[in-house]
Amino acid sequence: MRYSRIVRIIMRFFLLILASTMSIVSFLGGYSALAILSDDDNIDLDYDYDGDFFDVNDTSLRFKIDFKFKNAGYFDLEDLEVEFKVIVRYYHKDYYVPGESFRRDILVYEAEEDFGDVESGLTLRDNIKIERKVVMGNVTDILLNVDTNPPGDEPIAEFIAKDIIITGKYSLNLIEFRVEIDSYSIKAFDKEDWY
Amino acid sequence: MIFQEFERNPVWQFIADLMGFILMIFKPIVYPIGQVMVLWIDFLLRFFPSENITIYFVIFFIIVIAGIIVNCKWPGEKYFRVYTEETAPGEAEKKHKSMFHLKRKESLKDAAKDDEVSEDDDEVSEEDNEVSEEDNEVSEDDEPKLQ
Amino acid sequence: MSLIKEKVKKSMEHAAIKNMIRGAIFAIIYIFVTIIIPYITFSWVMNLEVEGIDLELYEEQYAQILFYILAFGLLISATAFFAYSSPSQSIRRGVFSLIQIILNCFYLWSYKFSGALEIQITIVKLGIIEVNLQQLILTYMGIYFLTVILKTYDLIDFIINRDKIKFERGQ
Repeated sequence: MRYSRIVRIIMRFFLLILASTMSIVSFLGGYSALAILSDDDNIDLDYDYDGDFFDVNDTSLRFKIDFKFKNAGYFDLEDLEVEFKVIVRYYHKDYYVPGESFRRDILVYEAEEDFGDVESGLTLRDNIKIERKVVMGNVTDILLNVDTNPPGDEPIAEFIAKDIIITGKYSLNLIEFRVEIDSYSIKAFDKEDWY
Repeated sequence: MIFQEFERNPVWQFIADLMGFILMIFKPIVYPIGQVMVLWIDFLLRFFPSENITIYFVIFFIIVIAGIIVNCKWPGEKYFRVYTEETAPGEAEKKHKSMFHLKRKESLKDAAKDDEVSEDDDEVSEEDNEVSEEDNEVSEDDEPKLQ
Repeated sequence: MSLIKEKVKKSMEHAAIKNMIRGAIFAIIYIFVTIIIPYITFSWVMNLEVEGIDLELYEEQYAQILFYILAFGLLISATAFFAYSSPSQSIRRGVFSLIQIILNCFYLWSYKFSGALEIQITIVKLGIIEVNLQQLILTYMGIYFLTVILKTYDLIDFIINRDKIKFERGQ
């Protein structure tokens, strides 16, 4: 066999390994995504609310969002970051036009959390806490000016998580994903729930 | 932050870890090359028509038909080699005992035995002359059949 | 002599048929891999549901993806046919194999224009999922570059050792 053929065989073997690696990584990445997303139990979100949000003197306020992420795939989920904002949506009385009200969104909290890497075969359990000291906006103004008879079937006040962005990398950093959720209702105050 | 472990398929996990190791070594080499490749491919891709698929079908058929014509006309397959005095490029002149060579390996082995073969040269050449004379007589008879 | 000529003629005919069959088989394989499988995959993505919610792939994006899949898939399959129907270690095989690999690079990168490099999937009434495959594709491109090097090396080898190859083949 010619010397050049031997060199060729070695190069082909080397390339075969590389190409096979990429194919297997692509396959396992897709399979892992399917394994994670196909089971409802793998991603879980729950929240807990204590205290009176609209009482500015209530320091026992605690809004806790518990989440669970089970990395049922075969690769590490790297650089997991979550950012979101929480707004209070309510109908503010219009004092210029009696009997009318207009909708307002008040930003009360924004956060950017970095959860680092979630190794394969591990379940991440963590929470985000919103306490009185981090609440933004004038909650007293909301309490005083809220229209308790909003138009339509709208709730009196509603906590909404907005601009939720979840980013991360998977499949050995070869795939970057970004999930953007425009808005997600966390808690709504109807007439029965209101003061 | 709490991490809990759970069980998964160990075979797939081993394969994933192995792939991770291989990529960890080669990715720093291969990824920058890919970035450079992309530059010239981006440039050349502008010259490809992006609205009319017919052109691609036409090129497809042209290449296939050209392939059929060229590779039928010159198939390049090895065929039975008539005994000649030809030598392989770069190899020593060799003589063959039989007229038809069905195996390449035998011919290469023969090349290694130059000394032994050269002693039989005279005998073989005489036989060949007789055979070639007979062939000439046969071919003259067969010519009308070939036509 | 005529016996030899007959045998040579038969062998050449068999060789031509063998070449055509080999070329056709590989062309069909490449059509399957470069056109049919991606087409089915993208059609499946269009109809995907995640937790009961439909996903939408923008129609324009989908049409562009299909165009480039078909266009370059056809070119790759045609060059594969020519290459694999050529005799082994021949110069024309080397040339067309090299062209095929370069077309593979274009095929892979043309996904960029169709948007497949950054896939955006809309979850109805909720938001979007963006998947960026740039790192994956660039790594593939690097591997393809090494394959281009290999094919160029082959071509140079076939040209330099042409006589030797012909002798080994028995011509």
